[in-house]
Amino acid sequence: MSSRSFLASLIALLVLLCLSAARLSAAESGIRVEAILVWATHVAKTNDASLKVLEPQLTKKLRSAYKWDLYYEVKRKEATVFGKDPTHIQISEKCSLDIKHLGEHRVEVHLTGKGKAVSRSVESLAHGYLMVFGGDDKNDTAWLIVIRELPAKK
Amino acid sequence: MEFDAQLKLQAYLDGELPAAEAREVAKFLAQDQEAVLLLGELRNTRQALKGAEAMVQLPESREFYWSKISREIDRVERPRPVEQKRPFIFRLQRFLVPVTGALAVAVFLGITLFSNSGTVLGETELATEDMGAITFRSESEGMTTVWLYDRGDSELSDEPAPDSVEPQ
Repeated sequence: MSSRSFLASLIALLVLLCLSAARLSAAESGIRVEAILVWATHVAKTNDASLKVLEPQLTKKLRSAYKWDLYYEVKRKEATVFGKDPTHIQISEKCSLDIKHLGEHRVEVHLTGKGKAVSRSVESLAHGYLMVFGGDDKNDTAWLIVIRELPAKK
Repeated sequence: MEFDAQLKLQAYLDGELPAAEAREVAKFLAQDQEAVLLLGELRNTRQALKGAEAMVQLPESREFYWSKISREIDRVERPRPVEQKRPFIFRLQRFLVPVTGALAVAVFLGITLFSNSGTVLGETELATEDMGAITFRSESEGMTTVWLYDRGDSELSDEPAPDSVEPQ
């Protein structure tokens, strides 16, 4: 084997190792996510100070997807999620999320309700993609949990 | 008979002498019997060679033909470089490089394939049989909805329904 081909093989080897390391570190490095608990309703809610109107941009997006006209933010939580251990987010007293970063903006979300595991979902949050858990509630209302990625802190 | 005279006779036979010298040789031949005999011998020899020598037609030009021979002589006579014994590591790299390369590819593929095992996008698994889920993935909206439903009321959220929210 000539020294030139030896060098080429060595470079290819290093590139592959770097790619492998990059993939591993991408999953290990964290991303910032936000979970918003949302009430969806047809009737305006004016006398509850704990509820505030959801931001217009998100409301517009939810309106285009669901039948409800009004969306109120109940709780909003931010967290940095990593690849090794899931990050626990208590979104309400009975409902929590455990989110794990799988790399390349993909997350694995475990939803727990009333202390019992409910579901496990995998989704990519790249480019502002939303992951929404929802369910019907009383009086033709619904609860939603919107999960999205936040830009990294500088 | 002198050697120079013999050479002159040869040149005379080959027609290589100037006219004056050729005349002198002709005179000399008339006087010297030994020279006549030698000339006859030389003529016979030339005649014999002419008949026996096969004419070879070269497939290429004469210069090129001889340059090939010259190059071949040079090549054969050139001293061969003494083969030095290479260190062990250089002999080892012959096997080490492909093996390590294959190993690196295997590691990369392993990480790529197995690090994402069970991570199909939009996939939802339910942990309990009491609940159902409908997953709707919309690339155009940039949103995936996992709609969960219970046998009874959905009470995942502990937040009470706002007072003002009334059935329509």
